[in-house]
Amino acid sequence: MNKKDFLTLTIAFLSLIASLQTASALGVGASPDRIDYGVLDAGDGSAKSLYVINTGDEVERIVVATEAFENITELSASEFTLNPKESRLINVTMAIPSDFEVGDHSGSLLITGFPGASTGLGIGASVRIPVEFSVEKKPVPLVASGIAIIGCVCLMLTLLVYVRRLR
Amino acid sequence: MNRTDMKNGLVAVLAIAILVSPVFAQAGNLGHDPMYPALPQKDATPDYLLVNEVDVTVDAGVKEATLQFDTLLATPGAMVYYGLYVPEQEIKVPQYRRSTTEDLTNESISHSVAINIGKFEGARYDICNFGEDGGVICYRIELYNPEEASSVFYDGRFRVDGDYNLVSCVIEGPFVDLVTTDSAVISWKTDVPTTAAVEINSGSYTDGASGTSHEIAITGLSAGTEYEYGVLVDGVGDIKTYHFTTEPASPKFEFAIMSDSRAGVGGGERSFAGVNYHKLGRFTIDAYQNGADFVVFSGDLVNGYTTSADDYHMQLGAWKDATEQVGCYIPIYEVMGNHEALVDVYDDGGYSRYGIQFDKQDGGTNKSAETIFAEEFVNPAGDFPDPENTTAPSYAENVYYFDYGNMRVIAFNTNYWWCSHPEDFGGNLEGYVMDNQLAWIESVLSDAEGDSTIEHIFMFAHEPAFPNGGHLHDAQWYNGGDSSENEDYYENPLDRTYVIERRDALWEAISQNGKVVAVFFGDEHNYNRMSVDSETPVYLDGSTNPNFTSPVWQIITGGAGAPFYAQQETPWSGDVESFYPSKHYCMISVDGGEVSLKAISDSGEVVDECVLRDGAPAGDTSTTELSTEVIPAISITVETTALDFGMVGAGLSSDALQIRIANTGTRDVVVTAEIGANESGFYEGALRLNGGSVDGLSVGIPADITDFEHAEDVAASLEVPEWAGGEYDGTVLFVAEGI
Repeated sequence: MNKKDFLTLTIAFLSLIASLQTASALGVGASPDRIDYGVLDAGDGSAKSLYVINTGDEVERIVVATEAFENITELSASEFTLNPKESRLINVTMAIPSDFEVGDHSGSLLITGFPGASTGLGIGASVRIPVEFSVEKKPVPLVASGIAIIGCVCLMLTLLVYVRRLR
Repeated sequence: MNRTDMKNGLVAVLAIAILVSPVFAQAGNLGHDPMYPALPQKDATPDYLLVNEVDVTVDAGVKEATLQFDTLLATPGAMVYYGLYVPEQEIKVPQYRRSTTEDLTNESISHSVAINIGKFEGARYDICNFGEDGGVICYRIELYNPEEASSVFYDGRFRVDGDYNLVSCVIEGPFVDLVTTDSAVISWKTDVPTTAAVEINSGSYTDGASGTSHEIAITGLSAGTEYEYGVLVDGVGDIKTYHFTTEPASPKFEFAIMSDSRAGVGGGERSFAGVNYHKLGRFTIDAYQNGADFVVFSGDLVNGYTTSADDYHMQLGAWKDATEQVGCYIPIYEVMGNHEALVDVYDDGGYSRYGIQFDKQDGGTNKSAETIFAEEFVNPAGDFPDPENTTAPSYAENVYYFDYGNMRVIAFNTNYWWCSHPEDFGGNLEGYVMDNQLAWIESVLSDAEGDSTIEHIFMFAHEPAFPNGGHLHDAQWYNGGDSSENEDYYENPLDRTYVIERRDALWEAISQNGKVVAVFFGDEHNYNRMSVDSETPVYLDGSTNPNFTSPVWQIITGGAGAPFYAQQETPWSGDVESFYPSKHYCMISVDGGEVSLKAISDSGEVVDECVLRDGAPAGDTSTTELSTEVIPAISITVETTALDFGMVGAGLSSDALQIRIANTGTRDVVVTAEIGANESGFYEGALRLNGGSVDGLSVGIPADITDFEHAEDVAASLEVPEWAGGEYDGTVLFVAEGI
C-alpha cells in the first residue's frame, strides 16, 4: 500500500467515524399544537393537558418554559427525562387573579429537548405552543346584587323619612 | 487531650494503613479488608444483664426447684414467676400462676431462687395431670437494673417427670421451616444433649446424633396437606403435638410481612432482652389467625449492636421465644437488618459517637453476625452469592430465594459485613448492596423471568431504596449522597453519590424484570406504600430515572415494635399513596394473577388496603397486545445533536455544516433559531445560518402526512471575530411554530 492509498483509506475511515458520531437525531413534539382556554372569569382557573413526546432516537432532557404570564401559569412538570418515542402528559393550569386585565390575551409555551450530552455547539429542538385566553369580569352573584338593591332601597326610604321630618 | 489533638493523633495512627491502601473515588476503602485501628477495644452490651444460662436443679424430696444465675451488674433480689402449660391450647402460652422473691439483703451478681413446684400437684393448680406425669414448668425472671432504673425479663422452662426427676426439655421451638409441596424441616433446642426424632402421621425421622440443636428434614409429603407432628427428645414426646400444611398445588395462599421488632418504648415486655416481645407476639399470633401460610420478617429483629456473642444469641433467643407460638405451625423467614450487628468496637475516646465498629470476622472462636444468624435460623441455603472478599462473611441463609405457588421470594441483605466508617476503614456501608450480591440478584431475577411457573416476584430486605420517614440520612439514600450532608470519619465532606448509583442499578434490575410486584423493606418504623416508575422523582433535583421502566411497589413495613417515625419530605413524597406512622404488619393475598394487600395496626384496624396486581400477570403472552404510534400535532427532528466546527482562526470563516431538520408532526411549521446558552456572547455574532444571522433564519417545512419525513437543510458556519480565542460552548435552539 502506497502513501496515497493509506491517506485515502484513513480519510474514508475518519469520515465513517464522523458520520457515526452525528447519526443520532434530536426531536420533540407536542399535542395539541395550541392551547385555548376560552373565556375565563377573573379570580377563576382552568387546567389543560398537553402531551410532550420525544421524537428523537436518544434519551432527552425536556424543559417546558412559559414565555408569558409566568406568574399565573402552573406546570405539573417543567423538567424531566424522556426515552426515545416516550411521551408524558403534563397539566398546564391558568389561575386568573381577580384584578387581572379584562380582554383577550395570548402567550406561549416553549418545549425544548436537549441531548443527554454534547460538546461544542449543542443543539436543542423546540416546539412553541401558543396559549390563548380571554378574561371577563366575574359577574356579581344574584344574592349579592339583591342585598345591594335592598340596601339601597332601605337607605332611600330612611332619607325620605328624615327629609319629611325636617319639613 | 482536646478533640483536635485526638483527631491529629488518630490521623497519625491511621495514616500508614490508609496510605498503603489503594484509594478509590468516593467509596474509598469500601470493600477492602477491615483496617483495624491501633486503638483499644471496648465492650458494648446495653441489653445484657443476665449472663450465661440459668442453672436449674430440683430437690425431689421437697419438690422444690432452684434457679441459679449471674448478672453482669450487681442487682437487688430477683422475682421469679412460674407456672405450667395447657396441652390442649393450640397457641402455647405460658400460664404463670405463682411467684417467689429472692431472699437477698444486698445487691449481688450471684442469684439463687427456690420455687415450690410441688404446689402444682394440688387440685387447685393441676391443669395438666402434673401430679402423676410431671410436666414442663415455665418461668420468668424479673430483674431490676439499677443503672437503668427499670426491670428486665428472661423466660425459660424445664421439665420434671412424675417423681420430680429433672428430664430433658425442649426449651426453644419447635419451628417448622422450608415448607414445600413435599417436604419441611423441623428444628428445636433442648436444655441438655439428647437424641431427637420427629413423628409425623405414621412415619418417624431422626437426626441420628446427640446434641442440643436439632434440625430434621421431613420428605415424601403431599401438596396442600395438613400434617400433625410431634417431637421426641430421648424418646419422650414434647408436652403437645403440632401441625403444618404443605405448600398448595394451586396458586392461592396468604402470607404476612413484618419488620423491626427490636425493643420499643414503654418498659416491660416492650423491652424484653432487646425485643418488643409484647408487639411481636401479638402480631405473629394475629397473622396466623388471619390465615397466613408463612411470615417473612424484614430485619431488625433485635436491638443487637453488641460486642458479646452470648448476648447476641440471647437476644435472638428471646425473639424466637416470642415467635415460637406460631413458628411451630407456619414457617417464618428471617432477613438481616442493621440491628443484627455483632461487632468489635474500637474506642476512640469519644471522637465518634459509638467508636469505630466492625462486623466480627469469622475465625477461631470468633463468629460474624452473619454466621450466628445462619446458625440460629433455618432459611434456604441452596443458592447464595459468593462472599465479597476473602475476609468477608458468608451470605449463607442471610441471602436466599424460594418459590412458593406461582411466586418467587427473594431475600437480600442490605446490612452485610458492616463497618461504621467503610470509606476509611474497609468493610461495607449500611444500605449498600455489594457487587456479588447485586449480580446474584440480577441472576435470580433473570431466572424467574424465564420461568413460566413464576407469575409474581416479591423481594425483601431491610434498608429502603426510597426512605420516607426516619432514615433519610442512611438506608440507600444518604440524603441523596450530597457531600454537604455526609462526612467521613475525619469529618471531611464525603460524596456518597456512589450509593445512589448502586441503588439505581438495583432498582433498574427490579423494574426491568416485569414480574416483580413489590419490594418490602423495614428500617423505618412506620408503614408507607408508593409505586416507583420512570416518572417518579428519585433524585435531589426532582428528576426521574427513565430506566425504571415498569412500575414496582415499594412498601416499607417497619412496625413490629420499634419506636415510631413520622413522614419526612423527600423528592418522591408526592408519590407516597399511603402512610401510617406506627405499629402494624401486612398481609398479602395471592389468588392466581391477583395480589392484594392489607396493613393491620396493633389495634386490629385495617390502615391500608389495596390491589397490588390486578388480573393477568405481566409477561402473559396469551392475550392480544394492542399498540399504535400516534404522530404528534407539532414536532421537529434535528438530525444531529451538536456542531463541531473544529479549529477556526480569528478573523476567518469555517466550512459550512449541513443540519437536516424534519417536520415529524401533522402541522406545517416554520422553523426559526435562537441562541440558548452562549458563553462570552461568542455565537451571537459568529454563528451564521444559511449565510445570515441566527435571528434571521426562517424556514417553512410543510407536513408530510404520508411518511412524516419532509425535511429542509440549514447550512451552519462560523465567522470568527478578530477578538476571539479559545474554546466556546453554547446551544442553538431550532424552534418550530405551527402555521
